[in-house]
Amino acid sequence: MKKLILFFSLMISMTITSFSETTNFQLGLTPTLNIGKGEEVVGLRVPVFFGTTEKVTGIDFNIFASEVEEFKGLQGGIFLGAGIFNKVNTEFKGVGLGLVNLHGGDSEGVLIGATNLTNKFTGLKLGILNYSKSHSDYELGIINYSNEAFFQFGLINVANQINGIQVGLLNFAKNGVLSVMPFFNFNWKL
Amino acid sequence: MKKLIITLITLLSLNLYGETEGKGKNREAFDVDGNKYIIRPFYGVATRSDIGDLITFKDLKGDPNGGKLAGIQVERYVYKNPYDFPVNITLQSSFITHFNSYSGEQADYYTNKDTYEINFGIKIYWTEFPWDKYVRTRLGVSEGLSYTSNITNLERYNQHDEKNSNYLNYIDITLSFNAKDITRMDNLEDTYIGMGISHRSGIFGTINGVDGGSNNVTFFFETEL
Repeated sequence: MKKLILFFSLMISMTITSFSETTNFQLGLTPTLNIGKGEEVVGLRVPVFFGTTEKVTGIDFNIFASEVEEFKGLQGGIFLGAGIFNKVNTEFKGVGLGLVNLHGGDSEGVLIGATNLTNKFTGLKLGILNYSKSHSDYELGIINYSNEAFFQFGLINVANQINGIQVGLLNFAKNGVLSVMPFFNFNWKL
Repeated sequence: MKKLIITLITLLSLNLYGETEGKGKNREAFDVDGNKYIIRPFYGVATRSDIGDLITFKDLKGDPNGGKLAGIQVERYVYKNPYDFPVNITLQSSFITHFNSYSGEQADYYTNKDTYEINFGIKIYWTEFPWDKYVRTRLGVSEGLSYTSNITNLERYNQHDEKNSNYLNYIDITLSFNAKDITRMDNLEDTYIGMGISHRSGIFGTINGVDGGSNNVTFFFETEL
């Protein structure tokens, strides 16, 4: 505990003297209060209570909940290595570990969480509920829902358009062999 | 350490009632339209069942000591339907009283003293279901911290001769239905009724070596302000 306090004190004291747009360490306490000025973090950010910033390249270690406009790197946190709530507004590239991952823009990489809510997603999503408003490449979960998907593996898979294959107990796809199929479904025109 | 945890939970809980100032283009958290708060008084019964058994209605076992609880939860909306996803995000604080009673032979182990519990967490609601045009439904799951003034009889029973802790992880699951849709009374537009599970655990020994916890089934109405 003493080491942790000492570490944070050191990091904070380093950032107090920094006045540039970019900072190497930021402690995001609330949506409007960041210790470590700068709208871009290249290094480590520790969001606590919906800490918010423009851009992060590096590592987000989330104590409670975070919000960021653009993110590149690794998002994790205090809950078994995952953040409780990670919100990325426009662009995400990297690996995201969170109980809830909520992405409003385009995302690329790997997402592991209880609930993954994304827009356009390129890569792998692993979760209890995977939900995509646009396109998803690979979804592994209990319930997978995507407007357009390439591969879904889960108990219940739902896609308005499947471009590859669905494997699961119930598979819903409007352009599938049938609109509902047990065990698997795929695009007939593959 | 205990004082630090209580202080942290209290300070975080106080943020529920604050308004965010200094809005910037990305400072959208807490800046929600319409109702900002959910108030949920509830009553519940203690159970010996695991959380998985309760969710699947597989194995419902009552607490042998007949534990009961009552409490109130206050939630502050942080985001409502972000990017048109059918979800709402809230911060949650709760205060719960567990009514312990014991009249058996292990009076030195169990207690007759009530337990006071405070929790703080973040909650996500799923708000889209196929039957919404008949009854609007929302399913909420929260994750957070929990601290109790003393160990409840249920946790003493579940972890008999094992480690227990005042501080544990907290999960709250609620399923609620819109009261206006059920009763056709317009005044109940912002009111929901439902049931839930109030869960405390050490996440398989991760917190203070506690491998286990407690589950309580709750019944409530919730209204928005």
